[in-house]
Amino acid sequence: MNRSQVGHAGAFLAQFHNCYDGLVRGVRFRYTAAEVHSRAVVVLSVRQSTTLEVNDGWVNVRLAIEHVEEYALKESAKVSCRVLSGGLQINAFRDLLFFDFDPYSDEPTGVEDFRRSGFYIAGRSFSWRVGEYSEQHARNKPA
Amino acid sequence: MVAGPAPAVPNPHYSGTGKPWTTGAVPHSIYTRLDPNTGEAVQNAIYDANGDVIGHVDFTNHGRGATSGHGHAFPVPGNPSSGHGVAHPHIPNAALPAGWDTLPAGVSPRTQIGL
Repeated sequence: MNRSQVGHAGAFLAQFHNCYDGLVRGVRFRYTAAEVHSRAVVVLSVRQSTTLEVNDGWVNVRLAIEHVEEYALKESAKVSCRVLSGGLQINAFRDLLFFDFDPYSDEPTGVEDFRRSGFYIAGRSFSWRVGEYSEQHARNKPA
Repeated sequence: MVAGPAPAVPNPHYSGTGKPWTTGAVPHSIYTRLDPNTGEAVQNAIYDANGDVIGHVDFTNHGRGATSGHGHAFPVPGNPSSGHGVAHPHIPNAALPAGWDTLPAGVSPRTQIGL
């Protein structure tokens, strides 16, 4: 794992208060014939520490995870992962960054705890873009 | 299940390490989610007469003044998303409905209330 990606993850979590009490607005995976691995885009509504004067800091963030090697998303009539009550956890294991949107534990003991999550994505790099707060679905692209 | 009159505080009280259900719970009940690695309480879920979740209390500090013990009320029962976002600020611990932040005997909050 590139050290800059790990630092990047820390900056992301600090900018958005670890995404606590955020909302998942949309999830999209892209598979192409030319690529072995997929790309994931998750649109979140979260609070940003630097824009408190607008919408009490609420913004939408388009989080793009590249070179996705594994993921899981479980949703049922009785269990939902749409509210980030446990925040977002990001950790690096070997060459992969694990994004856990539904943390199994507040003190994960290793990669297997990330794999116990109801919603996680593991990829090799990521980027994000901040846009205006919206409660619409993911097609409402942030600026 | 047929719900009786609403109790003064949520009752009965259940706990476990699984995620709280959004629907189909015991009417008027409360469920404490325990962290599977620490045994501490991370969240309470509160249910209405239909067994739909109507509120959460979080036992960790979520930043921006949302200290441990803050809550969220859900205008749409069974849909936690309806109580989060720009129009739905958290409920300070002191303003929670009676019994929402109750924990099972011997269980500690993940973070001390108010911190």
